[in-house]
Amino acid sequence: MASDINMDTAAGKAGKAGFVAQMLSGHSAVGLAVGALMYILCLSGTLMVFHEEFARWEQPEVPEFAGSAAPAAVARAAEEGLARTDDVPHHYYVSLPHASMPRLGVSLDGEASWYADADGNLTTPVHHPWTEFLEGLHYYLHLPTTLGLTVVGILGAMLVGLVISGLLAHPRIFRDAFAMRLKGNKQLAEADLHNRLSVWGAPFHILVALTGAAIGLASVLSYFAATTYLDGDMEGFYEPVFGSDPAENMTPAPMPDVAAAMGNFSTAHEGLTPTYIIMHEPGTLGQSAFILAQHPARLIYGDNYYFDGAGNLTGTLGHADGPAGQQIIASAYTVHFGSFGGLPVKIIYGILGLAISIVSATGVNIWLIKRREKGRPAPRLELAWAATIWGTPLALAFCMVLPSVLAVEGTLLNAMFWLCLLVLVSISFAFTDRAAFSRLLRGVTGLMIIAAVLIKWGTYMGEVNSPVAVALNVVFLGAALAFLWAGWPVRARAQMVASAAE
Amino acid sequence: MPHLSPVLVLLGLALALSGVLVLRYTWGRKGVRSRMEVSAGWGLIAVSFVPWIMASTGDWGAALALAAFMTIGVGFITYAALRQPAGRKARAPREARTSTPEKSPINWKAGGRRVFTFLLAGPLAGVAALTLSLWLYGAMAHSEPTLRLFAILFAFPLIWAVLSIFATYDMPVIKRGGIVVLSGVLGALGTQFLV
Repeated sequence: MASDINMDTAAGKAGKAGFVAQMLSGHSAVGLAVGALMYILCLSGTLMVFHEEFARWEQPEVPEFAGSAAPAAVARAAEEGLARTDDVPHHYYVSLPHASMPRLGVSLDGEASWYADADGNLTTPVHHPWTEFLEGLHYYLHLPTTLGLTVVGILGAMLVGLVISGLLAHPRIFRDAFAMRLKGNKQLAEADLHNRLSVWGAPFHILVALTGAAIGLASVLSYFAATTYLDGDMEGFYEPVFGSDPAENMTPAPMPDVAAAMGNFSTAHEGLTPTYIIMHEPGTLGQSAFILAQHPARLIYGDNYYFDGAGNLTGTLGHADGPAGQQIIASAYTVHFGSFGGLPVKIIYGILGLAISIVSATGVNIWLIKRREKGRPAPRLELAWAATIWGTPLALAFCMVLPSVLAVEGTLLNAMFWLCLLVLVSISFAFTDRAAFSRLLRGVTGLMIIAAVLIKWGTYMGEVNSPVAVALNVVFLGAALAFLWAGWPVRARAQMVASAAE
Repeated sequence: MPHLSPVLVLLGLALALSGVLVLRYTWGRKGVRSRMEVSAGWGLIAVSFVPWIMASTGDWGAALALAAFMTIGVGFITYAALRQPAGRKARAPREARTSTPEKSPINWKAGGRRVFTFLLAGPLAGVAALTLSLWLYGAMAHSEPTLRLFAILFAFPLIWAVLSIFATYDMPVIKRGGIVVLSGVLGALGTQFLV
């Protein structure tokens, strides 16, 4: 039986229209205030979903494991890595080969790091400057750590607000969920793109924004909560979920028996995938160690399996079977980055991440078009916005090339990204045709990606051990062709001629 | 990725697809819309979560179901965009007809209001959200500790987001400012009371 939906009363309609206009005003205000940074964050976040693949692409020569590493090889790599420093590392990481990162490696406090071969001999230093640059951009916007995390967290909170106000500001957003009119009026096309991608991606947008905001704002929150209620004990704030490090005792002691721990773990937990061994102050009496293992078909990033000096398993942290609050917090990272379902989920996250980047871009586009329609065009702002939208992928591609060609990396590479963006925004004012300027940026981005692939290909010709690196080359070339197609001047000129003829 | 029963996965996909098709049918019709059809569409989408959850575990299955549903939706609008015939040429924007952008004198009052709105939605709403979150944290002192931590971690950005909506809502500045400031004062007093 079909029942008709009643028409609203005139008064109700007027009230609703007022509410919608007021909500839309707020939506626009926040969107404009944070538009550029939000777009950069969304685009870098989309790429960050594939950060493991990018790391493999940057060092395609590193040997990869078909399965897990032998416990003896892991122990050897761990011993050899620790022998390379005179200091006691606060945290010592041994990354174990698994599906998305099939490489064995060690890292001293996340700074000096090496990969190891199948026998556990350390080989190449870990060196993926572009992936690290990308991580720095998305996590911190290249600002100092805590400040950057907080700024990114604030943007996450603003994005949550934008999603909520966007849904409230468009009462027909669900009814029009299938309308996609891209080939007519420009404003309608931008609005359709903005609203359709917003509505179908809404659950993803809210989850990603909320988890990102929670992760980003946790530092500020923990400081104030600890100061107010816990006598400044910030570790105590996180302790219910993440536990705490044991008391420091720097008296030398043998390193824990990693091989025995690996053997005991695989016997006791056959279905789990160990991804890391993490040691706190190894080689001291105060040391502690655990195996971080992924649980299949779970959203949690993993659970800690602690072991003693002899390699006997002593207990878990409880992410897998602890209270609901602990399980949810332990799932925030995987939900944010889409690392819970292998490549298929990563691809879906990539598509939805691209969608939210488009939503960020079209939101400001709509505002600019409306200004034009009202007879108040802002041509400089339009050019600057075009420079931001198309300049960001160009700057990202530029930073892909720099480490290989000029050995630029670290802080300098971060600076080059922002400098490139600043230059593009500055030179945009010299252009009068925004469409031509955008096409130029797209074309150059395509060429830059091709250059990055060719340089990488040329550097590692015949030494590639990573199938993912080969696949990514193909994906990059496909993206480059798409950019070149979108920036091709002849086609655009033909269109202009056709338009003029009309 | 763990092994999933193909039958259950296909069933989940089919249910989600059917739900989206029903919604497309009912929302695509001009004039009369059926509340029952809309409910049926959403109902099918909701039921599509069951096979996914049966195929794996609760949280993971639900996440996959959500991802599948959104992908189907994005697939539909991509298809709609691709099959759309070329539209009529858009009306020339007004800017094309006026040679130069209009220049108006600087409106200091409007500028000041914008700065105030920015401060209200950003730092002031943030401080208010922080005090309210701290109040919540204190009030949950006897709750299960991980639930307490989860509540404050997610409440802080959520409250900030809601306050930023109020701060930018198109209503008198006094009202907007009042809501944000009162929230902050309430949170601070509540926190002070619990410390």
